Amino acid sequence: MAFELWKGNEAIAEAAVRAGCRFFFGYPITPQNEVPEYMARRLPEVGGCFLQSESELAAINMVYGAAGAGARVMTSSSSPGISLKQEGITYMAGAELPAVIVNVMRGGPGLGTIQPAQGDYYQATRGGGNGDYRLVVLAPNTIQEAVDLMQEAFDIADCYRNPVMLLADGMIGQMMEPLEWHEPRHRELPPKDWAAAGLHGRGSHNIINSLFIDPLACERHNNRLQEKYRLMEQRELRFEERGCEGAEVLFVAYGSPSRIVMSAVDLLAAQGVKAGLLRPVTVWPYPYERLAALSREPSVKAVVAVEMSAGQMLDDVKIAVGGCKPVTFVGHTGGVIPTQHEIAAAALAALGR
Amino acid sequence: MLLSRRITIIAGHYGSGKTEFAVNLALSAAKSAQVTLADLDIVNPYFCSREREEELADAGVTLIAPAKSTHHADVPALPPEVARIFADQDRFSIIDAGGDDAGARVLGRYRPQLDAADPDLWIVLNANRPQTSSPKQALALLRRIEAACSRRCTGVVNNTHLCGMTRPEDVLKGAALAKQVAGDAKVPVVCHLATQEIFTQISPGDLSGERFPIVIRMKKPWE
Repeated sequence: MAFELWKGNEAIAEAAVRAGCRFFFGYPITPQNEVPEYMARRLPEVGGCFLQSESELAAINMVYGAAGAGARVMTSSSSPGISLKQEGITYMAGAELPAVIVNVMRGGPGLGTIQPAQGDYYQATRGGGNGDYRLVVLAPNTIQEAVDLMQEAFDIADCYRNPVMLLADGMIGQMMEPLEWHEPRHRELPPKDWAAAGLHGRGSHNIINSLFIDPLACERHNNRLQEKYRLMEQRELRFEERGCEGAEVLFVAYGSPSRIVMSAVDLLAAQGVKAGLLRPVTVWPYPYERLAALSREPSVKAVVAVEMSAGQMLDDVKIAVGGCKPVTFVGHTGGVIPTQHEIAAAALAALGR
Repeated sequence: MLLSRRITIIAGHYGSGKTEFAVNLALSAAKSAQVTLADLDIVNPYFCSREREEELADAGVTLIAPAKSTHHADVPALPPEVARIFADQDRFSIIDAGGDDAGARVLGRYRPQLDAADPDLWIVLNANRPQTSSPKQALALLRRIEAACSRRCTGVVNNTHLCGMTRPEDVLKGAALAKQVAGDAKVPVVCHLATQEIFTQISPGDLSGERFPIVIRMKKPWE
């Protein structure tokens, strides 16, 4: 395959189409507008349906409806818009409906800014809506990885009958990068015999619902969901390690900041300091065990978490490190991007140099 | 100097490298002339000329951009200073428009002034952009941009690259596309863009037309 030059948002949209997504419901918001813009033009070409809804709430409930009818469906938005969609997302998790939700994060809280940020980590990984539920959350750091993960996200959603989130930051959505299209790894998927798409000779209706009046019945449902989440933790965890062997400084970062960290690793190497990076590719499930093991390596003197937030993934880093090594943090909020020089300086400070 | 008319509009597909070209063009022209660069991308606030404000100021380029309060916003408000482009008869001005026909539409606001000034309208093409990789698609976009800004295209610029992965073959592939599109639109190919490093790998016989070497200014935070 030849390399092509794509903008992140467009590429994410095309990847969804290639993965068989035929329905998109959404509402415009920067910095993800090229996703719906692309879908509006592209979906009619493949017999799909694009609909700009009157609000984010309407969009996510249209996603609920299409997913309930067994369709491959997605929505995309950016931080404040994703907040509005939380009710629909927890309803889908409760009703066990597969769909893909893209969040191209911007600065917050509230309307914030339209520059890149990662302040929605808690919301994405802890369940931004009510109740005990989880989403597989995929966090790419290149456009190539974004399209590869996006193509697989629909299979993951169908495999577990659960929403999947692609968590990107504004830089991933807006920048241009070369990419190659790969045929995604296809999974054996269960038939959608639960879909509310007609009786097809059956005696009773399929009902899509997240309401359980009887507390015991609701707990049984929850227990089953929890078993499903444990399976996702076992099977869907992904991370990448770069130069961790013998590293004095262990960086932890995801998305765009992980690439700035790699530039900082080069700066540190020029000063004779060996640094490595553990990059979660899924931020839920989170690579707790691997981070715990790496941080316990004798060579590691300091763990440095880097985020475009006030320190959210930092909590997971601290859980994994468990106090065995000092953990420091470099972060910016509101759409300000950390620089390689300040990251390198923070690492040197953490080493007491 | 590449500029021939007093006002030159740079337009093209999202991500074709319009801004990279506009900034390099302004910096190059400023060596021998008074130059104004107008950043009129109010469609998308990422990777805009206004991010290079300091370098442009150091080179003596006058930057006209959305007000500071809306630098990072995508509000449909144009800076009043744009009027200076039409008033200052002794300066060269480059207008960096937003992507696609949506980005070029803002120019309609200045139609009477543009009709009087008769500027160049250069369309930047990147053959590696999948939506403009065929002559038919690229020409269709060129026509949509013309319709949106009510100006005729006067030249095509080949900026075929793959960011850091660009090879000489990319430039040559883009040259073929630019030649075809320019021929169909009955306008010249203004120039080919690449870094000097890429150009040195292309022999004169393989690439006809003007080469405009650029220095990558629109960098990503890790570059």
